[in-house]
Amino acid sequence: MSMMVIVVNKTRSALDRYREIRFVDNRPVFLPKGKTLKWMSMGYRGLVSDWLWIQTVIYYGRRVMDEDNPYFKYSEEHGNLDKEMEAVEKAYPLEEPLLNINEELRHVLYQGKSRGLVNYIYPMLDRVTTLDPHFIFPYIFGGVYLLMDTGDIGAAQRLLDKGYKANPDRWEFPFYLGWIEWMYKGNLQSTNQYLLEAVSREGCPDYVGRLLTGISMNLGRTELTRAYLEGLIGSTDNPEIHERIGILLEQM
Amino acid sequence: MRIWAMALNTFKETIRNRVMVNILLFAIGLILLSLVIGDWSIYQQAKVIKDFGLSAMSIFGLLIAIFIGIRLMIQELEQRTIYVIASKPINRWEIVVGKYLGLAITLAANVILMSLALAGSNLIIESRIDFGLAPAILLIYVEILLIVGFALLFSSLTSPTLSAIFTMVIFVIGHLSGFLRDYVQLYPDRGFHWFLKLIYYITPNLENLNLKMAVVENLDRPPHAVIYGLLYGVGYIIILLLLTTAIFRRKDFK
Repeated sequence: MSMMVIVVNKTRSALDRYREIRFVDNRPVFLPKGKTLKWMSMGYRGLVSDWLWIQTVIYYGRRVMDEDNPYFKYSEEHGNLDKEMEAVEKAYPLEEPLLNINEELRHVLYQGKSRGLVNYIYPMLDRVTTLDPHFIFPYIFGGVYLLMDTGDIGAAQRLLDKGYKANPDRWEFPFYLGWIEWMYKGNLQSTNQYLLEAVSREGCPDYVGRLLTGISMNLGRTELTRAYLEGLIGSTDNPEIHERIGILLEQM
Repeated sequence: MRIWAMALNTFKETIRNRVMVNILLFAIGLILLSLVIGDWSIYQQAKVIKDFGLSAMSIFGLLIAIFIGIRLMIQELEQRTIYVIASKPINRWEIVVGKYLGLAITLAANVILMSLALAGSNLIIESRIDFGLAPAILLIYVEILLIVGFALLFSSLTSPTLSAIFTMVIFVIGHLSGFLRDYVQLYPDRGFHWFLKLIYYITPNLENLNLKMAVVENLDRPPHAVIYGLLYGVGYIIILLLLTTAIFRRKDFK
């Protein structure tokens, strides 16, 4: 009996260790593409997308927040890694002859800059949103929160664009796309255009309108924005949008 | 009246079935467990609970439908109680319909219990009960009844194992038949498309009864989706019961 308890315990620890390594590894997503998953999940697309979403959140939590982050663990054991990290950043993408560091450290540094997140989480989010295109939060998570960790503007914009196409009535997508244009690309003209699209959608909060007014003034495009909004107010019968745009025009 | 007596008897018989009680308890447990699972989903707890609840209702309802539906007739034949029933002044179609209705009542009770568990979870998370889920639950019930219809039909034709396999296959094809239709429309010149079309028209399109995602996310539904879904499902069930009765009539119990 005690022998079996030891065997069970040992094998479980070994399997747990293996799982931990797999979890933080920079593996690609070994799942079928979203379209295939769509028919594989049959009538349970919502359930499957929820499950993949939870897996994504858990992965993110463990990789970024917890001590499972290999960069964090390694630096705790071996001291500050700033110098090595600088070398890695210069040498990115990681090529064999460029770095005179051991393989484990190279892998750790690669993971430590959150690039592992890009390789794993964006494909996962793509699957989640293909299965359930109206599941809004994963788009925002990938397009805004994850962008702050990974800095991958292209992946974030692709995800938000996908969400915008699937949910053209939501104000969040043009707003966040405009936010990326502003914060990460410094393209205020594009931000202005996106914010115009955001304010013309139901449920858009007042601060978006205030932001639009400020940016339009900054760009010297107040007249153009005003003309757009006047056109919009004439073409909508939605009382909420009507009222918001009326206030915006007054402010301008 | 005779149908009602038959139905009541089947209901009493099926609620004593331990397999069904276990599956039901497991389903309710899973619905309540979704409270914990939803907690991991970052602000999406309500959605996760509803998705899990409706899916559990559908999956476990289906399992109950297959396990109990198939045993319904076969048990009578194995235990030879069918001879006693057949010797009474009751028509064969009344036996089939009575048995079906009895199981339908049992399944309704199951769906109500699972809905209460889901409503309880919903109440804990959102401090309200989302009555908008009702159309999806109604169509899940119709889907389960449709599957029972197939289980009954196959069990009157073949062995329990094969009946279970065939019923599962119908469930899978039923959820994929929309893709068959799309494929035929995309490639109309393929030689075998008549075969795919045939499968599409023979098997039920169970996606017509799937409103789970639409109710959870308040999406626009096709107009009269619930009424058409109900008519579609009930129409199919009547055809299945007619077929089962026709087969059952030909059986020789002497």
